[in-house]
Amino acid sequence: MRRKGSTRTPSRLNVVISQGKQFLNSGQNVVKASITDVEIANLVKQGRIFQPAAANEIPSVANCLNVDPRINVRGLLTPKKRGNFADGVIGATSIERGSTLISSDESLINAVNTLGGAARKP
Amino acid sequence: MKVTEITLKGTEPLELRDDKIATIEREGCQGRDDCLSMRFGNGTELELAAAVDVSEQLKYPRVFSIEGSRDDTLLLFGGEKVYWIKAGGKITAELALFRRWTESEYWTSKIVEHGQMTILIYEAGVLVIDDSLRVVWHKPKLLNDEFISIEGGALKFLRDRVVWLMLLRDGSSSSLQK
Repeated sequence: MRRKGSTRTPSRLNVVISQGKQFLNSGQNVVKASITDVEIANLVKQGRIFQPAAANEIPSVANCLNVDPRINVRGLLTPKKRGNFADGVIGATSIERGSTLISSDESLINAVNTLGGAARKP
Repeated sequence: MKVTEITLKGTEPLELRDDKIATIEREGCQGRDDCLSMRFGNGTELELAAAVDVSEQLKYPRVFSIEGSRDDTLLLFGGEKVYWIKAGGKITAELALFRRWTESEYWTSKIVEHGQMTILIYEAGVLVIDDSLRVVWHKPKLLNDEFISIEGGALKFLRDRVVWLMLLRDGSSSSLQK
């Protein structure tokens, strides 16, 4: 049985860095996909962001390892965008866990909802 | 100063001093999705690369048109590049922002008018222009530096729990404040 809404998964960095703190403070059970940690580390290394404190406080969960849902999510995203690989993993992870995905990305939200998951804007 | 946000759902009019000077449309070019096609009344056609705001946070792409005191020129702000365009369809200048197309998931744009200045605050920097559409200064910032307000001649940003200032006179940064 799915547990939609029981666990909320902030999506890519845009939610974690801009609203991670608010989600934590709200008392919701917030997690992030492990691949988000890689994205954060890369951006910090490139000097594009500072390490957000909230990212350290939001637990990471294992990425979905099943290739099929990852491909299915990616197939519904805008082609040619860098970051689609990570989005595929994040979307598939939220569907696999029965979690509600929180994202600012319109196409990722649509993809997850189309595939039977639950996703919404912050 | 007049700032107009143009949502690019299809072919849209571009106005200067309330007169339609061109039609504009987002199109793909050079393997990307952020070009702006412009068709002027005199038959001139332009294709502006990296001109459209394709933030993944938007439902539709968009561009901002900014008019200053000059009757014949407007500024287009949307993508990685800002363009100055004459009413007849001539590009008079362009400026590369600190914005990166590959980071469009983080793109945000906020335009604040302050006295004679228009302040373009975007995820990766701040561009200040004057009433003649001249660049006063242009400075980078980190993607997650959050703009809070303008106070005492400075832009106030939040970096996690720490406030820092960017001075309006020249864009220099103050030390971080607890």
